[in-house]
Amino acid sequence: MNTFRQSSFRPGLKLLVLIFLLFLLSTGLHANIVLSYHQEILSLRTLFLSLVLESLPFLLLGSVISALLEVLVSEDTIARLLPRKTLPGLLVAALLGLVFPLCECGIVLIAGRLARKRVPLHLVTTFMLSVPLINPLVILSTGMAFPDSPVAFFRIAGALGVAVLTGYLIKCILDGQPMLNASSIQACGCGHHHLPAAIHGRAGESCLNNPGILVKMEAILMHSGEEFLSMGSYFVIGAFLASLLQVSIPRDILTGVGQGSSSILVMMAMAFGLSLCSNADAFVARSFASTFSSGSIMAFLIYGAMIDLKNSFMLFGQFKARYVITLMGLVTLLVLIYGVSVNLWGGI
Amino acid sequence: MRTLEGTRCGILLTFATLLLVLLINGNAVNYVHPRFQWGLTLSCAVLFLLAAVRIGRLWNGHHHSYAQPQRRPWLACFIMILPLCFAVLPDSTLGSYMVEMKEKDPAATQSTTNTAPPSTASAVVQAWDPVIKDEEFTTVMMMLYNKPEDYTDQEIEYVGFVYHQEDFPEDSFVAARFAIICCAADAQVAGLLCHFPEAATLKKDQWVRIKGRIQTRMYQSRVIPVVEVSMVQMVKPPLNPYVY
Repeated sequence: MNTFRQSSFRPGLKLLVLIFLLFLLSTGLHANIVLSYHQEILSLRTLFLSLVLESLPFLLLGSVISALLEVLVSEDTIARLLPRKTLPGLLVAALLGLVFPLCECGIVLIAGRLARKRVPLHLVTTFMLSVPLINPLVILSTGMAFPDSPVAFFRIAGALGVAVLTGYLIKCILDGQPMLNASSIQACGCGHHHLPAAIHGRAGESCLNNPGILVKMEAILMHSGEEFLSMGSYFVIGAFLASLLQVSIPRDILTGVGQGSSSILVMMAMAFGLSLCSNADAFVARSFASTFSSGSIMAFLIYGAMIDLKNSFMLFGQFKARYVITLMGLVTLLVLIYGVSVNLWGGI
Repeated sequence: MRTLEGTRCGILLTFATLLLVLLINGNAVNYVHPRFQWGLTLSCAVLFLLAAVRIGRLWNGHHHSYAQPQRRPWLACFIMILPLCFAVLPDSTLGSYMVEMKEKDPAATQSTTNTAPPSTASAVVQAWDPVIKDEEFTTVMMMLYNKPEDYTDQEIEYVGFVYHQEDFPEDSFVAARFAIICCAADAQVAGLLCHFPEAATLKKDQWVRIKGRIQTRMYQSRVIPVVEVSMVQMVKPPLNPYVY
């Protein structure tokens, strides 16, 4: 037994050391290598790495919170805390962002974990959509970007409406059907081979029954890593595509289409592709304010924070395709309606 | 299974090292706003911790992955290696190429890049200092584009990179900077159109210190400030290429 173990963990460690050494070697070398890289590739690199580096802390935070929920909070506790009635529940879920100001990168991880803890899907949906928008930091930065107009207020009001309505419609359309990805619904291997295997997700118990604090710590750290590695890969695809779009499509191709009724759709497409952080997008929206109607600016501000390229891949990683597509369709439709009505109302 | 676990440890460890390298050599500012510094430091520590726990388990011979395996664990690993591969390329910042992709009208972006409260703006008005520092760059640009007439004949001096555009006159270029809110992905162009007889001899993306007097000019049916350049000096790229 012992020898078997000794011999077969080596390949893993060898590979680990190899990757690590290669990395150290190349960072040491590249200062001296003079290569004429194309501007495109260097710009792509800058944008891609900046998106990854910007989101890394929030992805990690999301993973750790998700792991804490998994290990420390049982389904029973959550079930006791949940509001019974639908509409008040949705409103509470929509306003949680005021207490937990997280942005869209980390929130998908937490939403997925909550869904696995048997929180009803409509609450998870509303929570996931509203937290990146209805939180103090985003309200503040929107107010700073548009100091003399009520854009921030309209953004919050629209976000609240879209998030609550989407949650409600999700309940009507998909109620009770399993919407989590098959691979993520499995119980984790927390049994940790020398502990009695507690099957969480079923018996209503949290991950570990009565373990010591060290075992709990290890479980939290292992779960965080697991979450970070699996969801991180979805995030990386999204971030890569978003930066690829930025370096390959000149922005004035889109802004040229700007005027007219299609402008709302154009701004939503831009918000999706740019994948900006919801703290930053208001300042970018300002540069379009002179050429686009206020309805399309509003659509840009709300849509981009709810759904964008970099987090839609994470959604597909966590939830079934059917749920993700329904969600995207609903949000697109509702934001479009909101944008049109802001325009009809006469702008801001 | 063990090879997979080893690779995953390697990825965590490499991400942590990447952050450490960027924080130590200060290149993190090429990608994100300096206020993310503490977040990256914390992330670096957490990643080392996550890697350490996994390596510890691997060392003790736990051959099973902790959670149920993902559907395509190796694919996920390869994707996570992608940003690390890019990180190994030489350090880069944004330049003329991205100006072209983002915004072709130098006047259009100016009014937008200001992030400073109005109180700072009025403070700068009262004591006009011709040498524009990086910290006040976006504020000054916003003021200049809002009321170019107020600053006519004022001296100005600042550092930026050279940007040429096809529809500019031969004798003009823009000395530009990228203004950043969170990270390089939301960068916006800021800078002044510079009137300089030998503009064509300046290479694009060359960092220059320009000195001159502010004049106004009509550009696409609005008044914009331009600089009558009296001196162009080649300089090394600044440690922090962006303004905020």
